[in-house]
Amino acid sequence: METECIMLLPSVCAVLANPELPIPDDTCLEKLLDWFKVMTCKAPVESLMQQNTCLTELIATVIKQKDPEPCMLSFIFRLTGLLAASVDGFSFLEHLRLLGEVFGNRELMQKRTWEDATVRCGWIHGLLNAVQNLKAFQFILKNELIEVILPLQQDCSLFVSSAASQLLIQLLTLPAQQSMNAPVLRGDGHSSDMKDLLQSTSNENHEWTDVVKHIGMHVEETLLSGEPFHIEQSLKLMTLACKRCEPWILQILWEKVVGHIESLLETHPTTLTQPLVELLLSVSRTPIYQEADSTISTLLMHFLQTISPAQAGSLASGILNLKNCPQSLGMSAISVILHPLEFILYSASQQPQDPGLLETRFYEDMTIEEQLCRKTSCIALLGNSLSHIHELLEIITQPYYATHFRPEAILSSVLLVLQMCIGAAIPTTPAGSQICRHLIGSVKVQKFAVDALGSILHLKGIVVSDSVHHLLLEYLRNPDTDSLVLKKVMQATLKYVLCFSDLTAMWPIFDKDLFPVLKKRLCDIRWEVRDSTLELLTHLTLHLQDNEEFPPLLLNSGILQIAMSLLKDHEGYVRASTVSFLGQAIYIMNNKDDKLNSNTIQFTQEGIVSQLVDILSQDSESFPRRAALRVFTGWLQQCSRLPIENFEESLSVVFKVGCSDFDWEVRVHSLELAEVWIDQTLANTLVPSCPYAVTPSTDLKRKSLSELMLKLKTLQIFDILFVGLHDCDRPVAQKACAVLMSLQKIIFEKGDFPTNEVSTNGHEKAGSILKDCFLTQNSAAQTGLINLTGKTVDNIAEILAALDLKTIQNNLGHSSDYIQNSPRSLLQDILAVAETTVDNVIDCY
Amino acid sequence: MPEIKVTPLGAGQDVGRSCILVSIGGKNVMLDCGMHMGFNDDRRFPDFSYITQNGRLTEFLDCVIVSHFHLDHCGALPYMSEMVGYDGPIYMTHPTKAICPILLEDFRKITVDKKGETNFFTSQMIKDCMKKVTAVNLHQTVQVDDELEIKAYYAGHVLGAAMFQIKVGAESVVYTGDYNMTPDRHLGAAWIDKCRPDIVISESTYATTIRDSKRCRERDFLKKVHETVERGGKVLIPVFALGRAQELCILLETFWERMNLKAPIYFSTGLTEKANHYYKLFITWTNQKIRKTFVQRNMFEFKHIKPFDRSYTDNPGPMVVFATPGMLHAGQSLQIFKKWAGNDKNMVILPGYCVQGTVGYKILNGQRKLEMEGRNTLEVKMQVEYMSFSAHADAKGIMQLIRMAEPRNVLLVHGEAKKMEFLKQKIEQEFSVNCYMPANGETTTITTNPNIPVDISLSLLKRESVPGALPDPKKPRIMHGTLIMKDNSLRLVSSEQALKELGLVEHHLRFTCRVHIQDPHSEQDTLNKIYSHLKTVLKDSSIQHLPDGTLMVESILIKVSTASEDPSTKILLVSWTYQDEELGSYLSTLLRKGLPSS
Repeated sequence: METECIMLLPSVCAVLANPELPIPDDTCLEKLLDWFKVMTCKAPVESLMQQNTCLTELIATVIKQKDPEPCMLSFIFRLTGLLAASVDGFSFLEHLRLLGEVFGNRELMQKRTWEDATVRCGWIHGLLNAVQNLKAFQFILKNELIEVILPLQQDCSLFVSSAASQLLIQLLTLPAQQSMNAPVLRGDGHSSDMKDLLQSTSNENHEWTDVVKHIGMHVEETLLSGEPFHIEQSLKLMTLACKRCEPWILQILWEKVVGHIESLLETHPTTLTQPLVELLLSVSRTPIYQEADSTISTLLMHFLQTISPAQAGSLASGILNLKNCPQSLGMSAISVILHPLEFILYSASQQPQDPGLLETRFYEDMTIEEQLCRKTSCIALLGNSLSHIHELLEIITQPYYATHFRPEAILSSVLLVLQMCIGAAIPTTPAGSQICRHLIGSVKVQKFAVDALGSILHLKGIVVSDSVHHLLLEYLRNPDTDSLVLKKVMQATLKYVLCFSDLTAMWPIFDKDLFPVLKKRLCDIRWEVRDSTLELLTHLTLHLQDNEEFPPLLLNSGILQIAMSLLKDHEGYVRASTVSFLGQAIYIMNNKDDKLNSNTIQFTQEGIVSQLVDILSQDSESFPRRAALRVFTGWLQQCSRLPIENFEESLSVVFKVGCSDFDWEVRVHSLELAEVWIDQTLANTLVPSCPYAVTPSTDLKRKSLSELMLKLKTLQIFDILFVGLHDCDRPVAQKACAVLMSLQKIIFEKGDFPTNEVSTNGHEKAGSILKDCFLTQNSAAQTGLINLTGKTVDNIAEILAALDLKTIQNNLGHSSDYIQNSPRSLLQDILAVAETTVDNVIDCY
Repeated sequence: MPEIKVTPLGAGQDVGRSCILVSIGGKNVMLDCGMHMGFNDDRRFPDFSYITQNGRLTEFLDCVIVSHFHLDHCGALPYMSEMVGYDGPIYMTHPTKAICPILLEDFRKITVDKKGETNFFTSQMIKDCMKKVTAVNLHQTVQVDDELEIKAYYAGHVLGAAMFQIKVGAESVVYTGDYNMTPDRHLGAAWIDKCRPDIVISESTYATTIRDSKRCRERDFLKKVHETVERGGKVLIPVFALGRAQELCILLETFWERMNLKAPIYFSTGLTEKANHYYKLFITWTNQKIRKTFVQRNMFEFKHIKPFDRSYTDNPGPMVVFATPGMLHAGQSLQIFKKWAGNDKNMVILPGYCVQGTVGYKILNGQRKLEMEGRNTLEVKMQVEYMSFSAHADAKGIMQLIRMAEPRNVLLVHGEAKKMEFLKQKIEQEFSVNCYMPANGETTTITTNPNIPVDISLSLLKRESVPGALPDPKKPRIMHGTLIMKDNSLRLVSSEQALKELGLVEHHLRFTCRVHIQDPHSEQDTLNKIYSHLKTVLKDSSIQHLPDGTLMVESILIKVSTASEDPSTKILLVSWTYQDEELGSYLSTLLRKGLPSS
């Protein structure tokens, strides 16, 4: 603990203990606990309390107050718990008789304060903090606190009940964690240990077993209570037990409740379906499942049959993800998910004998038909089926299932759903017509279906038919398509295109269908659609630019013309995406073919560069400016593929403009660009020394380094690096520092550049030269840039050599947020609140 | 009985962040998805595991509604939609959709810059999240699905702020978000129609405050700025880019114009244009005065307020600067503060809330020696003023809104427990409705008595209505008729009309029961005894002997026969129509007791 914090702590405790003084806000108390937690991990708690007696005094004072503030009482509970977490801390507090007063105080639980959920929550969390050692466990038993905890597990506050469940689980697992005389486990790690346990004469074991039984009885009682909220909390407790408890404990609990769970499966209100699903799936992931294999499998199968098809999706999906899932159960689960889609296929099938999706059906067709013929359940059921397709695909491609299911058939059904949603399907049955009516315009189903389509298209080796691109184009063309659905359709289109290793058949589609519709979409009234279209075009260009056929198709499509106009779009996101697209498209313009360029003469690489420089210097939003800088960096990295004329001139403008931007991310990107430029220039300048050269390699190096320095100076890169080093935004300063450090390394360590000019007081000198540069220049006020015009390369080298970059880097490494995070600042704030006389009305935005 | 459940995950007895879950008519709606600015870790976001443990929020939630662009109401949206994974519909008004990403982006940059956090939502995530948003207009009923509909109402507070009515069938909830019942210089007052929802979920930030006159506060503010500028000092006003900054700009602009002041006023570079762009774009969302004068002069084209450049900080002479962010925790406002803090001629005016740890919080609480970055101590000599300009309804305003909407229940959120308690009692007393104030994590369940609208036939209405009396909504009457459910409509008609319309033949139902009594006399004597007995008991009813040897009391027939096995036992056959169900039951019970001995 910092000395200053030790000095402040007694005053802070005094403030907190004084009910007359204003209490700092909840976040202060939370942060104070965070700090105490760190402290208790760092040092022995007993000595911490001995050295800071104010802590125990604070606890003793607040707990004795007649009517303490709920938040303060809650804080005291949690603080006490933290301090009692270690054995020494616990003993110390017990010796002071504070633990009983804090946690065992029944009178307190009768008071009105206890009605405040914050207080109950604090009490539970306090105990939860404390129950890290067996002494605390014994304390709970001795004081019969289980009797208090169990009702809290059914508390009306979700926060309290959830915390109480965690505490109960902690009680169930702690003795095992603490290597108490845990029952000897059988060789396979599973329990037959109930007997061992019951026969054990150890006191602790008896107590522990009693706790397990007690909790088991509580769960049993609540499951029988008929009160849905209480049942739900107990189901959640059991689910948590499945995840955390030893198998033998779980077995005791499970044996107590399994009968009630079985009855609940028959007659549960719909609100309990999900908790029951969670519990059954959780127990299936425990060793109990292997032991009582058939029972739990039967339960799972039974529950699948009991719940409505629209609710069964998550259970079915969970079953499929079980290890060692019996195949019959797995097949049923798959059938649950696919049956609605199977029905859809059937409802539009021209020939009833067409092979469907399923060999055997889990439900009666009537059941599914009934659900699909009502609009609400139809949308819910299909949404459910489609949302699980992604997980299902992983299963049905496994060897056993692969023989029973064809992804192509699932693809057909998904396509059919999508056709129904836009009225493009021809149903052959009355039920089909009704389903079509329900689905037309259903954005929810469309979203799920397009996602499912995307997952299917992602499958390796999937055979896709022409109907996929027809449908995708249909959606892209449809003026009524929702913008989010369109975005997903565009993502699916990209996946579709990437399915093909040979795109020969696709080019005419690009030319006649895809590009024309994307052109239209670039002019869509919704910015979301224009943006998604640009994102698709960027990805297509990135992936297909090396195909000979792609560049002429794109360049002649007229898309670039529209994209250029989108650089002036009123929506910043669209301008940024346009910049990224043009940044990618410029690579395919690197073609000297006159025929190709004839239509695009105004869209030269140089033209785009100048447009992007304009964006960087004029755009009012930062997204496009950031995108422009990223594009410049990308170009520079790929400069061998991109011989743009006068690129270096443009770069000098980019450096200058980018580094004086008011958005720090643009400034960081500018420095990244400078870094790439330095790397590239170095790679070109510093040729490996030739052993047969007449001139010594050191001289060569020095010469090329001098050239580099000169170039850096001409492009004013030193200027922006030195300014960046003093930037008010930390990431900019960090980046500038990193670049300067690498320069220092190259120039002085590897390059043998003369550094003898740097005197012993070099660091100060560098600082003063830099300061001088900042102050003397007249234009600084306007540009925010340093003036190194009068300095020679040697002067700059001198500054560079003298800069103590390691120290700067170290200082920058500390988060600038430390004011907000430091404990001292927190303690000062608490004291300041207490001292302030002005009542600043609680406020918010 | 149908229920509406409301569970705050945030804003339950606090003002940290708003996130309220409402279950209504089988639909689950999340109201606001805010972030707590006071925390730097996961605690800043709502814990969605309380909603669903499997993380499939899209399955559970039917929609998310965001009331306005402040981060404590929308800050967790990209986290929820892009990091936890929610793909369902999100609704907000057009201005909120336009402005929300700017503030989220601003916050993201500060978080990443100051805290160096990497596990935070990215710009791309903000954009992808905003693509999921459906913008709504005021008073436009939006059909989320076949059953759930929402409607936005003007809330004042900030540009684009809205209250939302959520309706499933006949059940409805109104969520106010933050609102202001008094118009200010650029926004109007909140308004809602008499929608009589089952519950109004209202903010209660100023639950016990009757706010001092706005004019007084404004005068005070102008006086302080003017005095500082007059003595050659500089005034720093840390603000968030959009919101009360515009209100204060209009205030100063008008004052400068009136007083012909020359000292420059600046606004952080880049944000002025952007903010003003939105205020111009959404001029219909501002108040009447601004809308009316818009054609002659756009209030947001300021003559005196110019864009700020960081080099101006060192300029000599007085000036006023609006700089972001509003809590002095980073960026330009902090940079300017550091430069000006040492001069006692200068002043900083904090017009809003600051979280613990920020420089704003510290100086507001009287700290004058601050440890800054690099561990240097900064002595604050400049004057520090706090003036709340946040636009929330005060106690009077909250009561006014309840009067407007006439809800059946009120639920208070977004306020302090003690103040809520006071307001709760006041609401219950004045409106005789239940008022709730659940803490975070507590579920309030309200049983609803849904009204189902039914058409009534004119003939039935005429028949059932009291001649001459006008219908009074406060005195409901029960009407009898036959309810026909046909083609998704409900109609109450007379039973004759129902038979006619449905082509049905009328059947008459009679209830019968046998009563055994001991009477050794002849059947006729027994019948006469029954006649006399009933005559004395039922004085007002018509009782007749019928020629076939039965007795008739109203529609009830009583026939006597002798039990074949025991002549002293008489069997009374009592039969009645459903209209006389009450009398029939009474008579059968009466006869069971036997006849009085003569």
